Amino acid sequence: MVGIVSYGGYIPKRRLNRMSVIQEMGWYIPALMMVANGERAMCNWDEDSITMAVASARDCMAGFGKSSIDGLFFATTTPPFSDRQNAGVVATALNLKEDILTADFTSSQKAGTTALVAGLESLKSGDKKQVLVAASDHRKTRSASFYELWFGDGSASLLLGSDNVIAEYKGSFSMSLDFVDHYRGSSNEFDYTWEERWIRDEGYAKIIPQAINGLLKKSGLSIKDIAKVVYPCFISREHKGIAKKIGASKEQVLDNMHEETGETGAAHPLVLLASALEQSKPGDKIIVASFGQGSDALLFEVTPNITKLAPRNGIKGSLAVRKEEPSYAKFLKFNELINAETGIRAEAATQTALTTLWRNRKMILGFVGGRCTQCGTVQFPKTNVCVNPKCNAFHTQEDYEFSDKEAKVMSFTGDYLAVAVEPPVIYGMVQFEGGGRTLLDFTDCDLESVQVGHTVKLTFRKKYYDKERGFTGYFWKATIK
Amino acid sequence: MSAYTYTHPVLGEEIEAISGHYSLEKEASLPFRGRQVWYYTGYSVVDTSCCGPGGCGFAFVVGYILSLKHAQDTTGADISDIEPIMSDEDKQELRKLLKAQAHVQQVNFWAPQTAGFQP
Amino acid sequence: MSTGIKDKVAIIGMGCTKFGERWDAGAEDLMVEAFEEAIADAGIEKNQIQAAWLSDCFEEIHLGKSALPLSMTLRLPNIPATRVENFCASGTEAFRGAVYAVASGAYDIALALGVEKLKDIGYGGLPNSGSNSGSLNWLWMPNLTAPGAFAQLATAYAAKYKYSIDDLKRVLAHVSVKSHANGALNPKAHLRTPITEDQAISSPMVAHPLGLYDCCGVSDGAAAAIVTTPEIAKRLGKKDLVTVKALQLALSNGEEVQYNEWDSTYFVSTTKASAVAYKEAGIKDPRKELSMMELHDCFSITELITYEDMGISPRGKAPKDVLDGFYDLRGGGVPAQVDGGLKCFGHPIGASGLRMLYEMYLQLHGRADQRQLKDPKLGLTHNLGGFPFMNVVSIAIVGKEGV
Repeated sequence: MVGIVSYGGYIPKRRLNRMSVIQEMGWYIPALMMVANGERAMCNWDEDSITMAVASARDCMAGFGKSSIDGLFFATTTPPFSDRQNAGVVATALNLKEDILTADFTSSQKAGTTALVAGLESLKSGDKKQVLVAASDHRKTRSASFYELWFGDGSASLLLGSDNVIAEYKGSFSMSLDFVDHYRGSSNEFDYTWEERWIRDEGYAKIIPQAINGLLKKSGLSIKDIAKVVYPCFISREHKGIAKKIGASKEQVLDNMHEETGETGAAHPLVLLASALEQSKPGDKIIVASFGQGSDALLFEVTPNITKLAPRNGIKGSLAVRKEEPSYAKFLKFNELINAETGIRAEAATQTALTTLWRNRKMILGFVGGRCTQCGTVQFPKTNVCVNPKCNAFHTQEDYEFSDKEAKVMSFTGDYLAVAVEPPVIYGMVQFEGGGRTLLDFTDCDLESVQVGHTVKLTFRKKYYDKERGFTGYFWKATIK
Repeated sequence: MSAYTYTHPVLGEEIEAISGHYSLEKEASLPFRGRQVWYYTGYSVVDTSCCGPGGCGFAFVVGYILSLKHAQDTTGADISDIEPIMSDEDKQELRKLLKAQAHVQQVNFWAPQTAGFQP
Repeated sequence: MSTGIKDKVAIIGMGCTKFGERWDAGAEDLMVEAFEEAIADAGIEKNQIQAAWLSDCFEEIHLGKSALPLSMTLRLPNIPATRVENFCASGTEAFRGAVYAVASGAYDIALALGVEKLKDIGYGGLPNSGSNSGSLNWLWMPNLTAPGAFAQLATAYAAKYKYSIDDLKRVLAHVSVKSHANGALNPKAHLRTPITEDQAISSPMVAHPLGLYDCCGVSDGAAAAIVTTPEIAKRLGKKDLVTVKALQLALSNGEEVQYNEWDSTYFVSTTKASAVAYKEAGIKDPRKELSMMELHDCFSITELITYEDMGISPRGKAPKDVLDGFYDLRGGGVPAQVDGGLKCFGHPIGASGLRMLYEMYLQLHGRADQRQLKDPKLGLTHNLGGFPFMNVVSIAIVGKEGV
């Protein structure tokens, strides 16, 4: 039996109240009001598709070892790198083994489900033991566009395998059609979209039912046999229309999450699937379908193992970790949609020494430190000479993973002078449970909410962006638990 | 809480430090918990600090007014009797109020050396 | 067996420019200004200098690398010249080079000159080096600024000794008021404005709980010292010699920031360096024996904690000494920041250590005008470069010969 072994979710903490867009831009495009209900998830300035994928993958892997994972597929249409495998960054951040298969699935909104099919099929062949599929998207939209309100940022991950399967893979059905509802040229920042009515009537309303009906037919099932059907469609009315077309009742179909997150791009079918798994019981059959130059539809049957899966954030938990962002200007700034002054001071050199990064990849991307085999002192970074003054032994340190360790705030400050996207920069010294201390940037917290003694967790974030060369640097930050 | 003598600063005077300067521009009172709180608003420019530029609009809360500008000191500066804001809860509440009303990014409080402070 | 530096070297000439925003002068001009004063003070010919040390920290924005700018600017007679850099201790490092050169017997007369020209970068403060801060550092270290890092000391110190932040802020205000009062008496100081405690208290935060008056700025400036052996100094007709009593340096090794013990309420390096320096100078009770100090008051909290690291105030008790006026110019204790300190005299990084020695030198010769202390015998200078958890500390003790 192959299928899903675990799931994880990540929705950025900040949620932009859509009314804040209306407040600022309603005078310009009054029709935006039609879709301005609820809130959309927005990345912090230090998040992107890679960091969100790492977050949902860590949630997914909680309680599972890494040694059996021999594949990592990353799906997104917003990879930070066009040529440097993004999945490789995710795998290094997760400190996965190095002798594994990694791949990016991209260039289509159905990339997430395609990665899922590829992962499951590779397991069926018996060649792989476990494959981790992580999907996320952080799409840039023009200010005051409908897409700004429809889209949201988020991620979901699924661990696929053949032991302890919580949802058995029963098959898939794919349609591949060059239906161009929108496209993003390789040198363009924004999507170019065709008429919405055409997308709705000729696209969503036909292609998703085609895929789902094809899958049902292939599986010898009828829609009545399916407990939950999930598929994306940001036009809420049409989302309901598709249910009608495939003969599914309101109870069978999961809402498109417009009010909570907005549509999370290539990740959305997986976000919805994770959400469906959270609500399902053994025996439930679930269909997930995507939309993007065709559609993939996959069928799963939930097993009794689902009751044994340890609690995790998932989508529900991620949604609960929420901070409303009332400032539309902040959304614009975070997404570089306004050209705000940064000052001469920000013109500093930002080159990354790739040789240095390669030698220190475990430290920088994986937050792997050292443990002295002679005196047991845990330390970050891992160095040639033990930091314990009573030891100071040379070449005795073995790898020690910090990323899942909690830490306590020893000291911190809010710095208004440092160059920052969102001042003040908060940083401080943290002491890890089990030993080790270091300085870290803090993220996703207000200065008022940090106190000495607070417990922090680590989160993988963007550290800097080298505009001149197009390079994103990543490291870990502390966030209040 | 005992009363303290507070000597009022000169409004609009640029107070120079090596890392920048600040100025208290306006004074006002704010009804709070059934009493009047005296505060200043001003700005600061941190343009010569060793570590980068900064600055902000800020409010400086003197405390509850007991007797406003009832006398002058030898330099001609006004003197009031005030009661400083000491409770964290009140400070938090005033921070919120003043940030919203006065559009300042920082709210600080006058405080005396604790009577009998014995390090 | 080493015997230390005590009384092996004498300072025979010193110079210091006016510190400040010297829009009128480049680094070369500042070097000449400090050098002219020092050589006139020494009463020797330029050609008598046999070796030279240059210190600057941000050479990339003014002089560029190597000691060539020193040799070329002063037209030194093709003598050995070396450029040194060790953060804020750079100036003391240049002095150390010159002093050791003379003490070793390799040279008779040596020059130490420190300079920093920071106002040529188009924005306030020190340059932001970005990825030039070290290829690995850049990949992970938080984008710290000094106020943020030192503010953490203040909160940790207050917590450990159970002082309220309000009470600590009053103490820190006193520290600043004292330095401003001293600086106002100094014509070469960058800032000469006395302040009141309430003016300091009313100033907004730069990094909580440090306000505007708790933080130093940057200045342009240069300072220089000419050193020789006491014997040669006497042969040159010098009287009442000022000699070097101790020169120490201590650097962090990562324990503070990576090991599990340091509690962020003191400087490990200063504590170690001061003990060794007192031993070298033969000082048993610094509280009684030192006449004056110039500490690295990059922040008021640094100065407060350094009083303790220097072994002058007991741990946790520096606030008492501060409020008692022990460190004030006329407080009867050990006056600190006699010339105004970094916060008023100014802080051209590479020149600061030599600037501090300049004040000690003036005081010991009775040439400090309005700031003059009564019969000072021993003066201590201290620099701290870097952050509380990772730093370079230098200490120099100078005094009258025979003390």
